[in-house]
Amino acid sequence: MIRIKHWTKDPSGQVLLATLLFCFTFVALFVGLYKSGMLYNAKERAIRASNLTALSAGAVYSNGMQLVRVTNVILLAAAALNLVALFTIGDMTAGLAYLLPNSEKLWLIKAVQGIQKILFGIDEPIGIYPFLIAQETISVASQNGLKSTYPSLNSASWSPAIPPSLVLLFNIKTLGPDLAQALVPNMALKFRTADFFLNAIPKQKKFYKYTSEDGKTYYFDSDEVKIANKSKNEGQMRVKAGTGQRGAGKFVTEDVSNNLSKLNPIMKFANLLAGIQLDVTDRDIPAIHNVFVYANYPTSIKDTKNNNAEIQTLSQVNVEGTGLAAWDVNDPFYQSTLVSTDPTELIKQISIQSFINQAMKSFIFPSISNILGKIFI
Amino acid sequence: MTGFRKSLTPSGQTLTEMLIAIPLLFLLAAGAVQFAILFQARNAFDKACGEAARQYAANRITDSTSLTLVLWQDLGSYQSFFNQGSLALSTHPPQTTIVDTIVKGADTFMGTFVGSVSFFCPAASKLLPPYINYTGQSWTVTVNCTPPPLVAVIFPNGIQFKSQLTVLKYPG
Repeated sequence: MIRIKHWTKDPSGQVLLATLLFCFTFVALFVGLYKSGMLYNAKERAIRASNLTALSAGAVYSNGMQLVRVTNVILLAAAALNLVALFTIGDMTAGLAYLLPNSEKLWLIKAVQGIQKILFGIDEPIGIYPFLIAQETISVASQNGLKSTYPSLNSASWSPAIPPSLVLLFNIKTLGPDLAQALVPNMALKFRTADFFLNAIPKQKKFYKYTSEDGKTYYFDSDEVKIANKSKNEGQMRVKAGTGQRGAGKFVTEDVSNNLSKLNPIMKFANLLAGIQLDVTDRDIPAIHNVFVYANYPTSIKDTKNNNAEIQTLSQVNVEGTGLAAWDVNDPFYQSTLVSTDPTELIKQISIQSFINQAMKSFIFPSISNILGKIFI
Repeated sequence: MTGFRKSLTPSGQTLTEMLIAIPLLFLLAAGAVQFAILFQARNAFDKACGEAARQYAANRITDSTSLTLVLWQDLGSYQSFFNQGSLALSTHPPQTTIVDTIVKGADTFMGTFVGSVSFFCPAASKLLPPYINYTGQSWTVTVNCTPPPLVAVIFPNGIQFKSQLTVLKYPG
């Protein structure tokens, strides 16, 4: 210690110390520059990898949408064949009842719909095609350098890593609070039901009534009344003035019993139609099909805990087209477009990541070798 | 001799130290700047690769030659750091998954079936497979970077940059 003190008082020692300090500063500067440069490059590569992965997911998804159109054409052809067959044998007496879910007469339609269910995962836990989208996306992600802890289907032995990396979120925008459902590969599809045609029927008029002081009741339809603007009760209606009706300007109440009696047959018919499944269509109105890719990109840069730093990225792709009906089969194919992602979306996704981590930690996954060991022993 | 004596005085010593330190300081600062430029060049190369792949995914590029050209154009002002002749691109199909193989196998089977139907009903030709017709490409792009002069002292033969990327596309 005394030696160092003495040495620092010596001019040559001071120069040496200053030189050492100078060298240290520049080495630190260069290391900092190198690390920040490498991380910046890694960040760009991570964004690129995640964008290309999202685009790939979009490409497979778009292909799936065209496949839906094709199956809808097949369904239409099957329906025509089935109805012609029934007509030929003169078995058309039951009318709409044939189309109901429990009807066995339209077996050809049901068979095609059954294939559509399995293929696209409609009313099923998962479909073949959504599974294909997930598989292809995971495969492309790992080829682009993104971390993928999913077991490879080509591998003979695997054990799932915790936490899972590369989270794919399907059609999360339209799921509302039930975000966990987005983790299951899906194509946001459903069967169109026959009550869809009810939208084309003009809406029924509502009926209103007014009881005068002498106890006489007058009935009005919705054309003869208007909203009473200055009323304390929101939605209060009054009889229009100048219509020549008695009780002009008087407040009216809804004639519930009359409305219900008119509505009941419609409701029954609507319920009947709601049970009749037609072709496959978009689950949401307006139709939104999108996939989020939330991924980790491993780098060779060490972080403060001496672990390899990972960059988290989020990319989103929208799949857009004109429609899924059989008559749209010749329309331009569905196309996927990369969309900029709002950072607030990332927060949602991170909360999902923590949810998955918790869910995964609560289970103990046996590895394949353990399972095989148990079987063979 | 008088000058040498002067340099032994404190002010002379400072001047001599300054004369040694300032060029060194400038050299290091310039080196830092040139290293930053090198990183930017690397970044420009990665971005250009990504942009070319995106254009491929959007069906604007179909072959490797066009891809190389687009990649070179996307390098923009950083072209001066690269040797166009060294830009090499090797392509190979992306790895396939088991599900992909099964689905495409089913597609081929359906193709045979629908193909025979369309023989009797020409209207069905619109529905001819392949139904699973998304394709993909994996590239390995390499290029030789000519670094700025000071960095070139460390890397006289240039630095080889390599980028690997994979993307799937659907015909539009």
